[in-house]
Amino acid sequence: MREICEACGRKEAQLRFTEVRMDGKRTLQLCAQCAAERGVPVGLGDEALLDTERIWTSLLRRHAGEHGGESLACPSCGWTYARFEAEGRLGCPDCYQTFQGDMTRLLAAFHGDSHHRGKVPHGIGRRLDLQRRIRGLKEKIQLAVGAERFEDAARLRDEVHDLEVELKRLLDEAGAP
Amino acid sequence: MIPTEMTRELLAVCREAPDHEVALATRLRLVRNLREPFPAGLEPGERLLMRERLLAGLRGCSLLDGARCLEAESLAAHELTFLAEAILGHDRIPDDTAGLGLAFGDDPRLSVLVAAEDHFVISCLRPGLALQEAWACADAMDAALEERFEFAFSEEFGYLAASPRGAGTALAAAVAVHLPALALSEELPKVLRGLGALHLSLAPLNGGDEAATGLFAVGNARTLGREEGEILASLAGTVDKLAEFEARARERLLSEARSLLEDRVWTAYGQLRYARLMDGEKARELLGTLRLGCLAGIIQDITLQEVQAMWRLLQPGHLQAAEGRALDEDDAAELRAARLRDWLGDPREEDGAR
Repeated sequence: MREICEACGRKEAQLRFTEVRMDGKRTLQLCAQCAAERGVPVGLGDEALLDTERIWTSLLRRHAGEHGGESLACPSCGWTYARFEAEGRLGCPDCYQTFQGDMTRLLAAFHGDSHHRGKVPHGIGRRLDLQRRIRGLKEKIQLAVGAERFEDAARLRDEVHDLEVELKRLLDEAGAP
Repeated sequence: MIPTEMTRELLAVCREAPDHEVALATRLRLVRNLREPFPAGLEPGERLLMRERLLAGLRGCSLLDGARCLEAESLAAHELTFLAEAILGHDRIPDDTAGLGLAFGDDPRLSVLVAAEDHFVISCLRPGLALQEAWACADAMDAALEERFEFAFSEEFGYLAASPRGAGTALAAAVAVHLPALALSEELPKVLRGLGALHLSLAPLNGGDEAATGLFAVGNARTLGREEGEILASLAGTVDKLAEFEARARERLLSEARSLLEDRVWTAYGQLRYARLMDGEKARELLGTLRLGCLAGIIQDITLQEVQAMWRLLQPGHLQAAEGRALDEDDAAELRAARLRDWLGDPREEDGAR
């Protein structure tokens, strides 16, 4: 029986690809194109080296077809998607927000993941931590209200208030919007 | 001009080469940006102002106390080549150098490139395989920068970089490896497939002819979705594995084609010892074969450190830096051959002198 590529679900799988991650291994059946996108050399000769530059370029080209083609420009720096395609780089950090959908798809295809793991700047780490705690507390308030534990809810609300004051101070210090 | 003392320090670093069988050097690069437009898209005047501001901030960093700073326009082409080889670790200096700045700490192996494609690129070099040590150094520099600057960061994409494929940890870790026996064998494609599964990339160093020199850079292809520690651990584990594969390939060469290998090694030795003109590419290739000869026990009285030091010192930028002037290719080829003779000794010359 013919195996179908597990990544695109369309073409015939040509090779088995074992992806090794810290949390274990998984084996995929892939077609040549999807394998090449994961850096697996298919065929030899020129293809033999893992040329990440070429993988990225081919992703950009393929994405160009899927990209809506709307003439969106970054409100902070005026950069357009067309300019990103031509130069391979963005104009400013806000471009990530402007072209978020494109970036998420491109980076997920290139890195196999589109969510950051690892180091966080110290000040921002503190902020993210506060935001997470506030979200958690608010969920607990909902539960407490639902169970008619109004004293608990009031206590939690005070905690949220304190954290929000601290968060506001951090945001003011950093001059963030 | 690069200060003489700094050139001396950078040339001295070339002699610190540890005895690792395959790892020649470790290089880490960490990209950090501010929450403002990336430098490469700015008008030239704006970019110069930005550089001034960034360098001023860097001078005040605890880790770069009294940092030495260089501006690209004040450097000659051969000096830029030297810095690219010595600091950026084999990478070419970007085509567009106007507006670039470089800051160094007391140890010139730690540097920060300023106002290139990104606002800051922290660069850390170590001889041999020293990923943890290099990471400690880059991480400390990152912390020192963070005391002075607010970085562009998003929860989803991590540290934001001008080129989005470098976002996330924005860490590029690479180890320069010498795999001459593996490059000659049929095992290489299999090894490459394994590296792809680990999200690592392998490319010929300096874009050279890998089969001739066996010189590669192995590095992380992924910067997003993996923690720094995982990236470094999988890279370190891979270099150890490559060392094992290389040793096995070398054993096989020795048992199956000993005389062929000996001939290659001694021919390379002869050319290195007697040549009167030696171009850079040729020197790299012959020194690679010589190093294989040392590891295979064919050559006994030359150490790996000596070969590695020559490898670095004979690069075009290094050769010119040691001379303190620009050299044309013919002069460089003559000088390179003379350096090699000084090292290996030409007995005929000695006889002639007597």
